[in-house]
Amino acid sequence: MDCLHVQWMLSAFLDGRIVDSEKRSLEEHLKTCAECGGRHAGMVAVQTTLRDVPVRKVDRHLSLSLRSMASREAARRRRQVDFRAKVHDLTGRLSFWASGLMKPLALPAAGGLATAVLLFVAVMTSFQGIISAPQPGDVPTVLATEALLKSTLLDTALEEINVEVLVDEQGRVTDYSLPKDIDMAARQELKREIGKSLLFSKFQPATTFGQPTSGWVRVKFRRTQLEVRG
Amino acid sequence: MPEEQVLLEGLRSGDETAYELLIAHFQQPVFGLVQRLIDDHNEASDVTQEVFLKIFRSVNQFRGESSLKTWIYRIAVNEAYNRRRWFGRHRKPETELEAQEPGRSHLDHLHDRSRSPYDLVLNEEWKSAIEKALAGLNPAFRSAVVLRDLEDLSYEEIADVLDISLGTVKSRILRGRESLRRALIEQFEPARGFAFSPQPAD
Repeated sequence: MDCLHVQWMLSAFLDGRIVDSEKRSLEEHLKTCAECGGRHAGMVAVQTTLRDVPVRKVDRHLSLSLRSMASREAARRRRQVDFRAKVHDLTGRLSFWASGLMKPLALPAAGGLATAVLLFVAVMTSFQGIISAPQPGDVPTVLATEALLKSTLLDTALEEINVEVLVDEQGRVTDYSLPKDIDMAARQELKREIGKSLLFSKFQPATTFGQPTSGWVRVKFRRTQLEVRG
Repeated sequence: MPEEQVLLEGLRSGDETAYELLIAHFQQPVFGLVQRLIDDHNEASDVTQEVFLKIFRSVNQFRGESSLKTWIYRIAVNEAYNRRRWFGRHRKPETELEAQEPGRSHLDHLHDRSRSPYDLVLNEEWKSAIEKALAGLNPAFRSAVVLRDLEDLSYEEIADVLDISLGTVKSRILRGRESLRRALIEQFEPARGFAFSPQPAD
């Protein structure tokens, strides 16, 4: 054990705060090292001197002041405790009063609520069939619908062609336009065929707020089938 | 501790006997501790009153996580430290009318007839030297040394009072004692018998 370590442990040694093995080593070191022994003796002397210095007694004046203050504080505390007790008592009474006031209402209120729920469930169940049954003449709730192609007779040599058709409020074709990428010769022939076909096509007019109105519809004709897109 | 609980209950309910008991039990330790920490008798009296006022006012906040003694000592150390700081800023030099220690008269020294005049003088010199050394000590080390060597608190209690770790307690006590030892060596020449140079044991 070196001197630095011993000097670091001297204070704890004085207070008996080191383990036995360290204590034995330290005692051995103190027997042989004058410097550490001197420090140890010095610390013992300091500790003894400190303990020997008498503590001044509390004088009569301070003692009286403390007692007087204690008496005042005790009275103050009692007032606080009394006030808290009063508040607690008042709170308890109010709670009891409120509880007594609400109890007679509790059963009727709960019964009324339960009855209302039961009635609502029963009535809504019986109304379910009536609400879901469709009625003739019902107007769809959607605000606007587009014109629809009902039927057509088209015989064209082209594989596929898109035609935009203007349908009036009575479902009649009032105008149509062909794609611009068709050459002029084919265009004339095609215009004639499409025009003929559209004469025999039936459309459902577009609607706004349930009322028929004119509107464009795009019709895709194919050799074997046709698609209609609004 | 059941007695402590009873005492605390009494304090919380405003039982005058509990207040009297607390004063009777703790006035001297608190006063002694404060006096050791601030060096001034009159200030120590004021601080002691403030400590007890704080104890009475905050007894409801005491949760019992430490002992009542430790809690009271913590308040005392904090109050003394605050007063010491305030005192350090505001104190003006005063001249005492009588060259005697406050609270003590010359008669106090004559009561002990068992000691010779030489012993008395030497004893007074020793006391004066240790008090001077203690006064010059760093407040952090001083609190630790006072609580350990004068109030006889354990390291754990000191850690609790000063709100520091056990390692710091150990370090502060060591450094405080070492500083005191050096201060005393400086005050006493070796010729007057205060040279710590023991002879190695046989």
